[in-house]
Amino acid sequence: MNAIEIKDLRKSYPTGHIIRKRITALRGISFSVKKGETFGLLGHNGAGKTTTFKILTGLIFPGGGEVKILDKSPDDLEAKNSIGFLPENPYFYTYLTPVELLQFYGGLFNIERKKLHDRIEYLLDLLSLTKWKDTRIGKFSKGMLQRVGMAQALINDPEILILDEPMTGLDPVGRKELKNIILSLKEKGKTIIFSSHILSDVEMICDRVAILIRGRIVETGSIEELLVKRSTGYEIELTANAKEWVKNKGLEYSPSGSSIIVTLKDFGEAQKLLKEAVNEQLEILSFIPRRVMLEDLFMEEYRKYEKDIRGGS
Amino acid sequence: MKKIYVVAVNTYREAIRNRILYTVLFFLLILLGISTILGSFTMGETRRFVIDFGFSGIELLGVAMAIIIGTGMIYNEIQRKTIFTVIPKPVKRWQFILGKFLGLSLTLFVQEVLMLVFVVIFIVIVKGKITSLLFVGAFFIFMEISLTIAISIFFSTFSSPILSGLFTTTLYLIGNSLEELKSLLTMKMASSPVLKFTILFFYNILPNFHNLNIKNEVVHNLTLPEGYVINSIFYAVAYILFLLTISTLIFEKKEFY
Ligand SMILES: Nc1ncnc2c1ncn2[C@@H]1O[C@H](COP(=O)(O)OP(=O)(O)O)[C@@H](O)[C@H]1O
Ligand SMILES: [Mg+2]
Repeated sequence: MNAIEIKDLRKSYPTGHIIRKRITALRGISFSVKKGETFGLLGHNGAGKTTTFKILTGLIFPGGGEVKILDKSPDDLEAKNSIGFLPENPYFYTYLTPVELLQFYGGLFNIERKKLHDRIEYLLDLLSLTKWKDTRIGKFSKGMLQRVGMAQALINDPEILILDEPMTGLDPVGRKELKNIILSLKEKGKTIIFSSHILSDVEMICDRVAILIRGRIVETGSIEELLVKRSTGYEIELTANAKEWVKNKGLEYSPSGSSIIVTLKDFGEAQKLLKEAVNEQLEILSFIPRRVMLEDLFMEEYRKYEKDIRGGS
Repeated sequence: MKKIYVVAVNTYREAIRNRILYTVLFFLLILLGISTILGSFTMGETRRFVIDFGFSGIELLGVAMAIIIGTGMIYNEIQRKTIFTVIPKPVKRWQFILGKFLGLSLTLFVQEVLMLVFVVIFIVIVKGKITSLLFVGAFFIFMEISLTIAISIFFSTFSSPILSGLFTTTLYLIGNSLEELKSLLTMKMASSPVLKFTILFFYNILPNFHNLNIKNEVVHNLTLPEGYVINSIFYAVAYILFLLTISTLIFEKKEFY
């Protein structure tokens, strides 16, 4: 059983007061998130990330297709008991303090009093909110609201965590802290799905990503897979004294400080050169697939997509 | 059960902070002051004046609060996006609606008790008698207020606070004049069966605030017909449950963009 299973999910929003039109937000997306996996949903503004998450949390309903959380429909209580959700730019009851707010959310779960009390203390500490625990939320900055949002998402110690752009609005310190929290949850075996338009966020913590462009998933896979597929070659770094040896093989190299780098087009070639270098007892400093940065990959997909729709219409 | 309670308490916490609630108490005090002065001109009628003014005040102010807060309550949760973190929690939408209703009902109950205390104090000041009918009367007003909250919630599930406020006020006014509506039946022009049917239909289906209004009995210290209290409670509870059920059915289909 997968933690999350989405098949051919569609959604459009009604717009316009007089003339009724519909904006299509999701054009049939499919992906699944395995238990214990950290999954990143990557996409530009308006790609459909929030729409996907709102359907997962029962705030809106699918326009078509299938959505399952632990094999249950999103509005099933069992599904709701096992998720934690951080909305994009969360808003809370301004008249409550973090403690009161967490007591309220905790009350919506069947958590016993003592356990809830301990949980609240733990979360306030985890999210560095202890100092502010008796301050009205109305006075909080954006970054603090995001922390409160994270605390309420974790109140039931959920098996599946759904985070909509959790990094936005946080300063670099806050981002780092949040990343650490996500990583520690991942270590505890939690399933995490989060969205972002900032690629470096995803790269660091995700096992797998899906790239969402204008309501369609154009690519899914582990970051490695996505990058290797597009790698423009392999770089072998050798010490400078291997210059002659490389030249004799008729290969090009580029000097890089006290070492040289040989770039090869395909993996077979690279493998062969590595073996020979080992036999020659040359010192190999590094071997890396030359990576397309995730940014490039994303832009590439985006351009391809734009071309497709222009070509198609 | 606990989830309804949690929503209700939170609603109460928010509503009780509303400053209008306290402004209203001030108005009631003025009203009571005026009634005492007016009453003092009429021999031995001061108690009547205080009760008449006081109860009218409690009812009007309570109903006004029910409409003002009730129509905006759920709308605000959506508008201020606080609902985004509630719906994903394991709480059923009917529990949310019922919790909201009970929370505001509790708030206005507390407010009414405060207002009643003022009225009682004034009655004591003018050396009037405190009867149990006074409290029955206050309870009837509470039923009217609760019914108004339910109507406000009902309208607010499909229209804006301003429209819901208008609709609810209209229903409250019509509901208070249902006896007048029924009396049309005895007039000649109502001889057409279609018209008769229409009048009877509305008489039976609209919320009968008139029957929940026993101010006259309280003011004049009349006895209520046997079973009147029980019947009225039954009517109010059934009507409220009916409205909340329909509200839930509409709310179940709602999407939170
Ligand atoms: N309430 C709404 N009404 C109309 N269109 C909407 C609404 N919410 C989102 N959309 C549209 O749906 C698309 C996807 O939006 P969204 O899911 O919020 O994207 P993302 O979270 O990736 O930025 C966008 O084109 C957006 O304009
Ligand atoms: Mg979004």
